[in-house]
Amino acid sequence: MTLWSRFRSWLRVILRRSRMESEMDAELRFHIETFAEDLVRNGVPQEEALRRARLEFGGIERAKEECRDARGITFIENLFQDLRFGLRMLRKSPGFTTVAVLSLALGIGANTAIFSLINAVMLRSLPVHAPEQLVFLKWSARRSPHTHMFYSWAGCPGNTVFSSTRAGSCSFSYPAYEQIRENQNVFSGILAFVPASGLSDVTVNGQTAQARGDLVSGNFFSTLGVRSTAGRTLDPLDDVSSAAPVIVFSYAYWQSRFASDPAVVGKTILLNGVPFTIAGVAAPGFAGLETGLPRQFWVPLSSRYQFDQRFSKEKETDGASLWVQMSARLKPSASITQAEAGLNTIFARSVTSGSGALFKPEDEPRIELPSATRGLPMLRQQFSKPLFVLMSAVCLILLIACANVAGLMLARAVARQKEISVRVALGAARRRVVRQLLTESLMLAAAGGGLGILFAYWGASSLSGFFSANAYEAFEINVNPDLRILGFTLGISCLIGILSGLAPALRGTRLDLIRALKESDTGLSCSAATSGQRLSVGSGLVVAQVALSILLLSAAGLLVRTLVNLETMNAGFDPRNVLLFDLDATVSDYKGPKLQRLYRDLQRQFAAFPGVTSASYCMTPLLSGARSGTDLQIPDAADKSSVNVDQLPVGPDFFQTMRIPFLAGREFTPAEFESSSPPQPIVVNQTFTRRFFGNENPLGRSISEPEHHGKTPQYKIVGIVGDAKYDSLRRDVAPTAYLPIGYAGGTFELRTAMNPKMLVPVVREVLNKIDKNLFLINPKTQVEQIDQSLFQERLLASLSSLFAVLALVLACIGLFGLLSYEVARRTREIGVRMALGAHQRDVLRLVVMKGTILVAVGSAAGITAALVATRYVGSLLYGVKPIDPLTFTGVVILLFAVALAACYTPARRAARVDPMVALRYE
Amino acid sequence: MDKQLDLLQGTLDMLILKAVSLGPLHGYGILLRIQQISKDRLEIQQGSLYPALYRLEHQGWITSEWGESENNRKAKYYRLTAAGKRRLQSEAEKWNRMADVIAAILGTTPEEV
Repeated sequence: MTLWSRFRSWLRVILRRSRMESEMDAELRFHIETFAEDLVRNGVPQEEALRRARLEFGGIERAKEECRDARGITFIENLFQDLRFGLRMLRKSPGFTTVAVLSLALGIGANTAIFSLINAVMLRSLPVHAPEQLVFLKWSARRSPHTHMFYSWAGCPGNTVFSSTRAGSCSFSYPAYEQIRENQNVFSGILAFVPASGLSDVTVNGQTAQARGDLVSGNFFSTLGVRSTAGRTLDPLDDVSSAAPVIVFSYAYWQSRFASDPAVVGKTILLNGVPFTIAGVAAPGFAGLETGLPRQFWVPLSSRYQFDQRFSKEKETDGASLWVQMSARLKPSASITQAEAGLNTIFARSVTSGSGALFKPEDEPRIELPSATRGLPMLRQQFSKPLFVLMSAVCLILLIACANVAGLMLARAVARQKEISVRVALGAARRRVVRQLLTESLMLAAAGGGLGILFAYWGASSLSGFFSANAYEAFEINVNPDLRILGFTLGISCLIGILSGLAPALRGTRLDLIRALKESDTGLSCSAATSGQRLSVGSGLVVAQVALSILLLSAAGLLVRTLVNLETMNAGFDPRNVLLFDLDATVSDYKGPKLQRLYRDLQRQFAAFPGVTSASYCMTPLLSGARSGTDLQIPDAADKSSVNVDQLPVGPDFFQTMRIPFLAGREFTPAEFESSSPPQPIVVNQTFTRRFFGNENPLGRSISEPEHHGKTPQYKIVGIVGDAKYDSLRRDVAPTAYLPIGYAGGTFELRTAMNPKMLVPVVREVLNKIDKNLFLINPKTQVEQIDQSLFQERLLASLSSLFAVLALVLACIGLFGLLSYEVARRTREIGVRMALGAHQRDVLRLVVMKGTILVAVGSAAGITAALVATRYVGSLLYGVKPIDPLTFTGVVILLFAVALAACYTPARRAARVDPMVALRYE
Repeated sequence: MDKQLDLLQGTLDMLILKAVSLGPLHGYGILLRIQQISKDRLEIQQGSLYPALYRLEHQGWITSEWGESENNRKAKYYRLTAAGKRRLQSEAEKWNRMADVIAAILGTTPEEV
């Protein structure tokens, strides 16, 4: 029953608070008056009686407060009281509120934005059923196997490894897949998936566009637990060679290409020119197993011969062709180690038996099961380091913002001392006042957090757009706020509110009561004993802000220098005014030798264009991140060791088009492009020459691959060119061999005298006239290609500079605030000094000295921290060491310059103090 | 007058309940009655009376209503509830038992140990 009565009195109080208050007041008054009447009856005079009665009773307000406490609802009542009061106080000082809320919004917003990226790239699970049960299959062995065909895709967990002691990959052979599938008992389902080659052409109603998709086993959707939105998803019946080819589209693609029309189910579309029937649309949100690289369609594995040129019947059943990737769902009862052990036996048996076995038993082939909860980790592997660097940077900014607000609140608490001392004198517990001040800072943090979420959403969307437009592949990062992000924002807002409010609240309420009540406001602030302490906290905060800014500025400086080094580096060729594009001939009639001839014809046609200086094509464009290599050795040499060299198949006029300087020898003749009989002519670079032949002349010398056992050597050197970068700017130039391109394919390069993009429509027309199924795809300039390859560096340089500038601004605001407060506080003292004969410049010096000392101490602390911390970004740098004196000095000079500017206004205000006014100032 | 004894909070509650059990009273009256019953050997600090009353009411041992006092003024009268009566009984029993135990301890002679 007491619970009920407690609840009743609780309710009563909430609903009829004012009435309760007046009743309590009446009751206590009655008590005192009755007591007084008794005293009067005992002979005490009237006023004396009333006074004594009050004295006997003790503090009325305190009794009232205790009565309110006894009612047991005080917490919520007090909370509302605090909120109302806090709101009023904040409204009274709009300048302070604006600066504080903005600083917090910037800090919290930046943190939330980067956290959204981290969430999307690294933390989100796949949108499938029970993702924690999913694993990928990966094999590893002591040596790399000899394969007939090996397709490996980026994103295999732990990277594809091929060294002399360890090899591993996610690609299995089809027989291995079948054996594992049939003999395993640790998975409740096992599926196979193979990314379709590059982008495929999807033709709907005569219109062709490109899309990315996977070939999957029939149980793909059922194992993952992904339902359909329209029609159906694939089932095992679709995955037999006799089944009619069907295709399932992703929800996003269905929305954009088909305008969410449910009637598309059952219609026919062309995939690379081959008719497929639309079976259905997958559930919204599902876009394949690779985070960041969404798929638009899925087709059964059995349909591969029809539209994917890479596959032919012989390769499929071959145990030495690795091309199938697998994923599986663990049974709830199985653990990973059990599963791995179970699969090892099956796998080892399948790869060490039969003719053409991949491995011998001593190679110890075994299976690993990396987790697939978050999908294929290519995006994670590429971006986790930069994202962590950025997260550290925004944490620093948040700390600076926090210190800023704490400093502001501290000054404010000191200014409100009179008010606080009156409250304490009236009986408020210290804890209560601290709670009220904390409520104010929490409200600021809440406002900052709310505004910060808006900043964050805008910032994260722009960043995500930057990712999509500029990285190698069109990454898609979904930064929509979800519960985790909102929880994160809420968490740090609360943390920041408490952090920045606690110290000022505690300090502001530690007072010598009598002194505080007696003295005037300025007298209070002037008193050396108490305020000396308070100011050192404020100064400490400014020093901390300066130190953190230096840290950020140093890191930003190093990253910017890295970018500048990479962008201004001599790549060995001239990247300006070069147009790159690929040819998509999959839907046309051009195949094999016919296609090769087409490429050569096109090269001649393009070279003859007005506006085109020269034209060529090669296997992969320079600085695209892709390269191929091989081992070569000098035949019949005493030293049988082979050297790994880069190799690039190139078309006619390649060196002239890319302006790679020819040093000796000759180019390839047209005839050499047609034949491939050994010895093939190759052109090598200087590094190659030095590596194999030292100072000797390499022209006319032969060279072969280690396994080559023919009578004539494989390659003959016919020319030498200067060193040029191949796949990336960071990588040092390796020995490179350029060969005449012997197959159909590659990227065209056109060097022009004008803006390369202007040639695109012209080229399209030419292709259209030859065959209307020839398409120009991926047009970009070489400069754009380089920018894409420098994406990570550009991202880091621009963001870290932004954050560093932000930190600098915040630190200067902090310094400015502190000095202004100092000047206001010591106005009387300055007046006295001036009256006693100090000049304006002495006063100026006073203020500027204080500022300089703070900045100097902060810089020292910051540089010390930077010396330790910058080595963490060491792996991201190029051409500059983590401890770079030039950068550090520059940063300190910048900070001093900006800080001096911040000191200027308070110093001027101090210098303009009129002694007469100051002395009379109260 | 004997030196005033210091009172613990729990004891004050018990005394208030007892005072009120003898008939509904307003706060000042409770004060007087306690003084009266204790024959002036006990004096309650006036400031702690009302918080105790509010607490007891919140816990449901007493209930209040406004009425008219002797001098025709409005006053809040407190009355014991059934639960309060039971509470008073159990508290009194506890107190007596405690008193016995303490008396026994204090009364031990060196030989009994």
